[in-house]
Amino acid sequence: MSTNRSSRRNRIILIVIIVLCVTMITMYARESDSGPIHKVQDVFMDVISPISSGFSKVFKPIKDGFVNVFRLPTLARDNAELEKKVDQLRRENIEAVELEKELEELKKLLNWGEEHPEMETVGTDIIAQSPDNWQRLMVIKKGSSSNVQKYMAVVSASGMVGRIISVGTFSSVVQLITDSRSGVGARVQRSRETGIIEGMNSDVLRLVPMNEEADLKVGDIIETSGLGGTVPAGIAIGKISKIKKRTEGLSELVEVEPFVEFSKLSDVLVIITPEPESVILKGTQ
Amino acid sequence: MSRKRQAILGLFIITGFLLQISVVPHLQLFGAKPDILLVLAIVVAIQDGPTAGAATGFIGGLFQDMMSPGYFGVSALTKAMAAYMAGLLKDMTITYSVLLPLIITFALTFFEQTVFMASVAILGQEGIPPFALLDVFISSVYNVLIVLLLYPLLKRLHFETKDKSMVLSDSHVKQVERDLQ
Repeated sequence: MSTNRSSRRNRIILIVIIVLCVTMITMYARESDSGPIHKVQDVFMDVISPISSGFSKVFKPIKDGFVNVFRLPTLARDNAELEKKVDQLRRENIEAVELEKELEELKKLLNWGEEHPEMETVGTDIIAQSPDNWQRLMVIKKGSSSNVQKYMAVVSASGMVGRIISVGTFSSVVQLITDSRSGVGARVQRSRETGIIEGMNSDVLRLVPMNEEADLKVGDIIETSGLGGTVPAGIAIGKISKIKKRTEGLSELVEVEPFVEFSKLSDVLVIITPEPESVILKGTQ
Repeated sequence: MSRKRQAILGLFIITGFLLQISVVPHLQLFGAKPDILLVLAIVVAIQDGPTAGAATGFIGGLFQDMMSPGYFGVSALTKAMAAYMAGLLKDMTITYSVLLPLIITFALTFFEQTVFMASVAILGQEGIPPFALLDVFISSVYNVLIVLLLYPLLKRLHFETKDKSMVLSDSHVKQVERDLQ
């Protein structure tokens, strides 16, 4: 008797939970970015950010221990320094090639007065990452109080990291370029072929060229094209690691290895100006 | 469930959530990572019953949903369902084998991840990641490793926080012995 009553109670509780979840899912899907659940999410992130940041610091030795489990501490330190130097040299090299290309274009146009627009950035820590396996997101410690807005580009010393997709007062969510929902306008530095860099929820990216006969080679450096208006042009993304020829009728699969090592990322820069076009348009409405 | 155990579980949920967003992302193997909150919900379901497990899964999932723009409510739903099923499976099985929690955790991690992806697909979310069977498998194995740590810990706390009303006093024991004679 009491077992029957208990199992009926269990079923009722499960039904209540399911109804509650379905209601929340529906409400969230129907409301705008300024809706009540979105606001609750923003407030929650603002509250959890400092706690998560502290937690992250407390558990840093465990994180580092796991990453360096097979390395001696000195080797890990040396390696980090070397990687930093390689990143710097690579960045300088990319910048030099980029300047050379720009110079050529400027020469052709006989427009020596054109100046490269300076980007204003704001530096921040990463305080949390996506809790599930199906999204590549991270939370940063800067929000609307630091002039961060939706769709702004996020970069590191190595290159493009992602874009802001949600903004709280003191924290924001960044969608990484490796997220399968991410698409960023890109171009090949050598041949200037354009395309879209898409995430695949893995450590590599996919380049979808605009032109089926695009001039692409393994090792080509990919950078942002600026097309689409959300990310400034000329930010390094990665290099082509594999080109798989497909059968007739299908475009080739171009894999790009990003320069940014997302698992080791701790500090990033948000590009405040130039503002994404979508933000400017929103402001004028 | 006693108030003390409820408080301890609340603490476990918060700690598990903070670990999930700050430490676990660094423990990825081939792109997959463990899900501490799911394991916690399954363990609670096995030890305290399906309803307690579903409630733990719901609260833990809701915490995760707060950090996931785009899928609000889905984690809460899938974790509650998986934990409830874990409780039911435990009730239906007459065994004290130590393998049971491991098998249930493995199977229900697989189930939870699949239902999560299916729910996201039904919701029409753009750019749904391809369902990576290897990721799900590694996650399931990872969760089995977590359950090896979490299960004995919560089991120990389970006895320490058990309701006193549930424990028979000496006079009760003597009464039962007399009745049996």
